[in-house]
Amino acid sequence: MASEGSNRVELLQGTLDLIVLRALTTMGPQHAYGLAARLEQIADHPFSVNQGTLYAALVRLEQSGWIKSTWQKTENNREAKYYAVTRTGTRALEKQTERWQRLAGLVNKLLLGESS
Amino acid sequence: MIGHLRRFVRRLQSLFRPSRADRELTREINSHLLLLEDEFRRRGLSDDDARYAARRAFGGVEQAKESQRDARSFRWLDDARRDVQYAARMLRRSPGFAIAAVLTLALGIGANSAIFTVVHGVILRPLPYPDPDRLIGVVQQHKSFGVDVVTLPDYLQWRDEAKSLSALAGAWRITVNLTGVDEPERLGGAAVTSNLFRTLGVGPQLGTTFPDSASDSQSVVLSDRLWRRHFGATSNALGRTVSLNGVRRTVIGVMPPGFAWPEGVELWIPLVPEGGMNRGYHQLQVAGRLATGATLADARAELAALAARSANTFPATNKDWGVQVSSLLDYTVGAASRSLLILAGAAGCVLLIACANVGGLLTARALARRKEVSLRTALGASRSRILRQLLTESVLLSLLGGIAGVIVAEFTIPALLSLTTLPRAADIALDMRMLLATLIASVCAGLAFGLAPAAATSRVAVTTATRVRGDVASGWLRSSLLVFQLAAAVVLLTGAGLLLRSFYKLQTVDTGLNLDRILTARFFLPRASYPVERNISLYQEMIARTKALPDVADAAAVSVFPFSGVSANVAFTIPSRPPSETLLTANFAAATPGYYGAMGIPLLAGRSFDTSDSANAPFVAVINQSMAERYFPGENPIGQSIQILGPKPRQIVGIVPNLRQRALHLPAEPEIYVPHAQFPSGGMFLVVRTKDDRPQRVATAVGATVRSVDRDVPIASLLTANQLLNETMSSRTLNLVLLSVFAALALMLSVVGVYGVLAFTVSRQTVEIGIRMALGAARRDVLLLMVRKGLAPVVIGVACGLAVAFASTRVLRTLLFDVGPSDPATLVGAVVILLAASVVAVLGPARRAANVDPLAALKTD
Repeated sequence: MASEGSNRVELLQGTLDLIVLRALTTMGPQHAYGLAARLEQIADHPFSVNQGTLYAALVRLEQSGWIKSTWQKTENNREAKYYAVTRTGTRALEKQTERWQRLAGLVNKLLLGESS
Repeated sequence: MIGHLRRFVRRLQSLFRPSRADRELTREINSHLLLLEDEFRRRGLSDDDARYAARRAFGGVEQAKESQRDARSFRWLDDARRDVQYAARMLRRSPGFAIAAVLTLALGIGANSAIFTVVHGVILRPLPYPDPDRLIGVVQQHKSFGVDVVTLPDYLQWRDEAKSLSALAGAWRITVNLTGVDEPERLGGAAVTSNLFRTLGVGPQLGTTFPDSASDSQSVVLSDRLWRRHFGATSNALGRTVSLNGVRRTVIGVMPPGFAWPEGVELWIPLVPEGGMNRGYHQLQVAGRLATGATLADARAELAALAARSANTFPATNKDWGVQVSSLLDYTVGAASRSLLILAGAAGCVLLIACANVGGLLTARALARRKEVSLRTALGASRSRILRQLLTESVLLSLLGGIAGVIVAEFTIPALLSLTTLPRAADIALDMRMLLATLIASVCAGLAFGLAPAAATSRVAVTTATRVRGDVASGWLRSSLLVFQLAAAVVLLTGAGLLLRSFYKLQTVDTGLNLDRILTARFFLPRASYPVERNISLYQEMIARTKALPDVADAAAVSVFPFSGVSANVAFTIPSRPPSETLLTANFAAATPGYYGAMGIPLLAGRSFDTSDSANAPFVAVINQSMAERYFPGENPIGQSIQILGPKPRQIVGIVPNLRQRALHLPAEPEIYVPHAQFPSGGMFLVVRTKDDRPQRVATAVGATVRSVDRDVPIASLLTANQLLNETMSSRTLNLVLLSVFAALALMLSVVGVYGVLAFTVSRQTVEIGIRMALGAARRDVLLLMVRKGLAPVVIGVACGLAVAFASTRVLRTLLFDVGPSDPATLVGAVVILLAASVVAVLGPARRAANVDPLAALKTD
């Protein structure tokens, strides 16, 4: 068990979920590949994670009822699973963003306070 | 919060439908890869390059699936489910192993479930009264006579003076003929103080109980069972009149189901202090309730002080009498708890042996599965993962064993209860609690026997380089399991051997009687409906008509028949001597003239009773040898007088030999017999000697004869003398049978273990044996080597077992008769049996080793 969890570099717990939720809110319904491409694009440098890692975040969000999925055709007529933010998801995003900012502010204050 | 809950539910759901979610995920990832491929092709890569680039950009497909699965469900639960499926598949694939292991465990677990159900029902289950731990039981204890029930005056004194008790009740067991109902019946009842029901805290389910004032009222309270049996459980039973021993009584109440105090009684009547306040007459079973704030120790101290005071005030009757106060549960269960706990210990031993055996089987199997395990390790399974898998297998095995064990217990418990007369045994059955306990025991057993082999295997599997060391390690493990088994088997065999020898010695005790041709019929004629003259003529008539039956050689009657459980102890005086300081006591019986002849008891001196010893003739008595030796040493008792149960002295006219009266293990006591005509006791045994050795054949004819004399006389029991004798042995029989069964199981399992270990060693070392033989070892050398190898753990195990047996068989002491707890013959016997069985078990594999063909052996592998 230990070998599977500890030596993988991960984003801060819950951060990826928040980022995915936020990306889906701004982009509208999107499939996993589209999300991955978008995340690589908006980040200054690519995440040090594989595109496959998204799936854990997606299933967590879906199970929480914050996003829902449907199979649809892409422009190139490929089938893909599209994820869309639900109403509870939108509310959750607001709350989580606020929480994140509070937390980030606190961490900032603490870190800066320490260094000065 | 809601989101968390929803997610939890979804995770649970996907635990049970993993395949659908997995298919969906695969489809999604495939589409993801195709989209990536499209992108790379659009950038100008060839089809193959695009596919390759897509894979690289995506990362590990399996890894992604695993992390999604992890998030989707509860990983460990999912693993456990898969482990169970896998374990079930593995067991199905080797049914021989599975059946052997499950059967072994079923015997071990079944024996334990059965014993613990009984232990729980008898010892652990609280009494069915409110606040049962505040209830106490009291007996009187004499310095040399031992324990006895309580006299009425002592009871009254305690009840009135003890501050540590809020209530104290007494009950006098009686046996009654119930008539005035459809079917007359003889049953056990109790004459009780009016506060009995209040003391125990149980009220009637119907009607009322006895009022405090009218202790002479002609009323009766019924048990629930009796009420259902004779009154159809209807409320108009109240006010009905029944006849008890010829006395008419009115039913005033019915107690709720399960209420039976003293143990086994079915009706209660008010206690009337009969025969005055005799401080020498021990008759009452006494139960009390501790006062608020008082402890058992308080009650003990207070009653002991009261008893000491009585000993001073009434030295003639109370000298040397103390009290014993215990919880009412201990009082009720009494000596049964000790032998039950011993049996529970033995059953536990059997389970441990069974576990050790299955542990041995698993070790052998795990070694054979090493390839599979190393493959799984190479594929990335961690050691803990493999350990968990192997443990799942053993727990699955033990659960199957547990289920089979419950079936074994279900069938064993009734048999077990029928073997004995344990207190509180009436409503014992396997219940949910015991099923749960069995389940827990099974899982624990599975972990216990699975852990060591699994740990050894998962260690073995790490690299192939450690192969040899792994063999050695698990070989050592198997040997120590074997040593343990054999040690436990020696202890059980010794215990069973000791009980067996006691039983044998008891069987060969000289009773002084030949009981093979004797049938007894027991009666109780109430004084009210059978006055003295009627009583005497009735028995005379019965004896005369029975003697006339074709297969009957002789007939007589006696009030106390040997081994019947009936006994009467009386005090007497010898008028020619100055009054004795101590009370002279002897067992007492009334007999009709032909009794000694019918029983085949020879007269040692003087004469026996004859028809001239009537109520009006001079009073006479016959005594036994023990009585003559104890009370008339160096004198001729014949012609001397004793005074007993009344003012008229009796002349001793004859002496008979000593007989075992109460039980085989108790020595003969002084006895006084008087003619039935001069003491027309209501309770009598009709004693019938038959012409051949099958006395039970005349039972029907005797019953018919009795009814032809008087249709209303209920026969309480119609048993052969040997049946009575066997009943006195019943508690011994239980111990003996169970401990023997356990010992036999232990022996069998251990021998299988001995065989298994050596057979396995031989099959693992075929090559080595081949080399030895190729290098010139003779078959005999190989045979001896293997026998030595097989017997080494046996010898160590037996030595350890002997030490443990030596130290532990002392717990059996009270159950033994004429055999010491470390009886050398028994110890040697147990060792010889085990060694002999082990040698037989070892010879098979050893011979197989000796017959190894060196060429063939070297070619294999």
